Amino acid sequence: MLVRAATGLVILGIVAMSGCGEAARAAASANADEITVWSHLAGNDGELAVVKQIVKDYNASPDKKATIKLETFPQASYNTSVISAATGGSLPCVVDVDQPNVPYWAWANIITPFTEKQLLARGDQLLPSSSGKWNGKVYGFSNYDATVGLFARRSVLKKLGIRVATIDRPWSKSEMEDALAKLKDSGEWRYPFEMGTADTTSEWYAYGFGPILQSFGGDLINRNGYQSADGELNGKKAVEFSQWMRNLVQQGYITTKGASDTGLDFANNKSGLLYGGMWVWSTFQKYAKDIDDIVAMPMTDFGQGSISPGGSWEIALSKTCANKAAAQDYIRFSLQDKYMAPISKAGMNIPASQAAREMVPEFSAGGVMEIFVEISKRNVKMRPETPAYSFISVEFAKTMNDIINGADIQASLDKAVNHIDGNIKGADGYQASTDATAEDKDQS
Amino acid sequence: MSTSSMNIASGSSSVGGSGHAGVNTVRTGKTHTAKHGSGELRNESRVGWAMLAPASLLLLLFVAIPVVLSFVLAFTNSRSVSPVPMRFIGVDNFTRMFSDPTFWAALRNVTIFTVAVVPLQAGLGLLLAVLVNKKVRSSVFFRTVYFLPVVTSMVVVSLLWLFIYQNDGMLNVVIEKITFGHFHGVDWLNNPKTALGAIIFMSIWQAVGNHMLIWLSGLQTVPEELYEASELDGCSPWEQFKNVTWPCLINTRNMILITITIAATSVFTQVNVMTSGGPRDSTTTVVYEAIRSGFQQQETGYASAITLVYFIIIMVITGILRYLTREK
Repeated sequence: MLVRAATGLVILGIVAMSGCGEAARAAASANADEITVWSHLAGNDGELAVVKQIVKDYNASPDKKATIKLETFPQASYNTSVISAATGGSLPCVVDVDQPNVPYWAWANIITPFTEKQLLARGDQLLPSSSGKWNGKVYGFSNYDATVGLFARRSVLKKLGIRVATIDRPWSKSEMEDALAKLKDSGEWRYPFEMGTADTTSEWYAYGFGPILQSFGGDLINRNGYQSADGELNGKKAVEFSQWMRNLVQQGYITTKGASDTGLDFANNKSGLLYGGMWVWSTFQKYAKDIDDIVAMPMTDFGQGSISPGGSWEIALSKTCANKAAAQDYIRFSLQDKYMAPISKAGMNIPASQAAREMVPEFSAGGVMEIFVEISKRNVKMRPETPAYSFISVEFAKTMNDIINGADIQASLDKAVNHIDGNIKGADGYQASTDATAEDKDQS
Repeated sequence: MSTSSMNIASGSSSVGGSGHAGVNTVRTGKTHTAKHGSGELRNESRVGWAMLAPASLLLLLFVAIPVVLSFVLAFTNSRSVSPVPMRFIGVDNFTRMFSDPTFWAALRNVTIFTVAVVPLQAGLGLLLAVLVNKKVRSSVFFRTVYFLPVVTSMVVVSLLWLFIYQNDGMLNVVIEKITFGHFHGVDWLNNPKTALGAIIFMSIWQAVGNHMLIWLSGLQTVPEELYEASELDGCSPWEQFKNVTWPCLINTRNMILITITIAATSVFTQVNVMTSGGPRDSTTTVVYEAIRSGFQQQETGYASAITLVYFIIIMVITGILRYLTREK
């Protein structure tokens, strides 16, 4: 009942909004010198303060091409708001988009590629992982990027005779297994290794464990054409990866339902080794008394090199924007180093440009976070850039959670592949619509 | 769900009835000299329709149209946003659903949940109702205490029990203390063998107060004379319960049976907050699967197919229950 009511509400909403949408669109084209910007940062005060400053500065600038109006949403309801606005045709000119959603939103005609030369030139100066691409076109740029790493205490590693992994020499698979065994044998922790297994509903499984799968030699999908996951997600390498994950549980290295705040747990020495996002560092700064003892390391090389994920929230241009030139002018304005530095620092993310990194001590040469800049430059493999990604992510999280809880590995992986392939077929392969049909749709 | 709408319908018709009478008197008072007959009748039925209109409109908007839409969408490849035009794909969604072990696990879990929750929750509710119905000084206090979880939001209750069930949570600490450390509890929600049981226990605890209250209202309709008469006849308390209370509760019983069954088959919140359907599908439910595929994975067509099957299940169960509890 609830579902039916909800589905109905959505559809009613769509019906109701397509009416309002026309009006909104008419108003938008009439008032093209005002540009609305949607942000997901409501409640995230540190970063939002910088965005507000950008808007204020732009509106005060003599060269402005339009007046910017900022509207903020809480992150949890942001995607739904954009999707319902898109169905109703009442999108603002500029939207935030989480990088893995870029292909989906591009495919669904929510966002449109950047065209302005100066803006694209600015993008070339940024970390490659801070731009959102699909089918060879650029749809979004980010002020910063984030990635993951292993965290341990130097004193613990030294006492147990474990080498500190470095960007040039990450641990090998056997070294990591040896380290885990030593940590376990020390008896100091019930589960010495924490890798965020409790976080089944967010992006974490695909973001954090996808790269491990890739380092084993598998992948979430066959990236050649993005039409099937067969052979990648259920192949020999993926099975090996799954067995390795299961083994961590069987050896008692990890629990299948870890801490809800893994960074806090590690800060309180409830685990000896942590695999997590670099943002846990801000938790350490607040709660870890021995923060100087904590060392960040790249993830282990399981055969195909140490691989790390990338991609964060980006700023993009909506397809229905009436004044695309002014919107892109604003986007370029917002990507200046002087804004990039404080907005990155607020969330302890890597500033996307070299100049901005030099303005944040943690990320400049010799800073504690410098290793993540290196990881981001050298080891990042983006999550599959396909509209099917959000489906894959949910499916992968469920499958891996089933597997570490003891489900049959091959059967579970085959099931996930079936679902993913079915989803792709159901969407006619997520082919990019030609511009002509997109325009038709706009007019209808 | 059909029962609740029936309740609403019957409720509004009785209200409409009394409203009618009132309007009628006013009218006759005013149009004293007017001719009796068709004009007045027409007027009366117009007022009746006007009174029916708001409820019917809402039911149409939020029940009838969505139901029809979900029937249609179930046979399409519809998605929440997609440039690909929606098209009919026959029974593909259903073949996919019936070949998906997760869907069968969801059906199995809902069946276990319902079979366990319905008798336990109804029985415990009756027991509590009989206890707090005794005219002792503290009965109001106990009524309030038993009712407290009901007025607490299910999300809050689920979060609290999430902490209680944790590996180093309250429950395991208590178990360890009272067995002097001889027995350490399991990780309740994270063990496929115990997770569903843990959710069943907590769900019964949460909702039992609600049904206690319904039983209580039923108990208070039992005429006092019958108890007096049975006492004079020398009945023991048990005989009194068996021969007076139980037969008098027939309507309450039927209502509770149907409402609990429907509520139990639509279990969702606890699962969403506590386990996300895991570990290994051991706690997933039909509604949870529908929401997961409809909102997280944005496959509106497939989610509609799940809700369609769910709708049919509820229809069949309600039909059976109404047949079993019909007045003979």
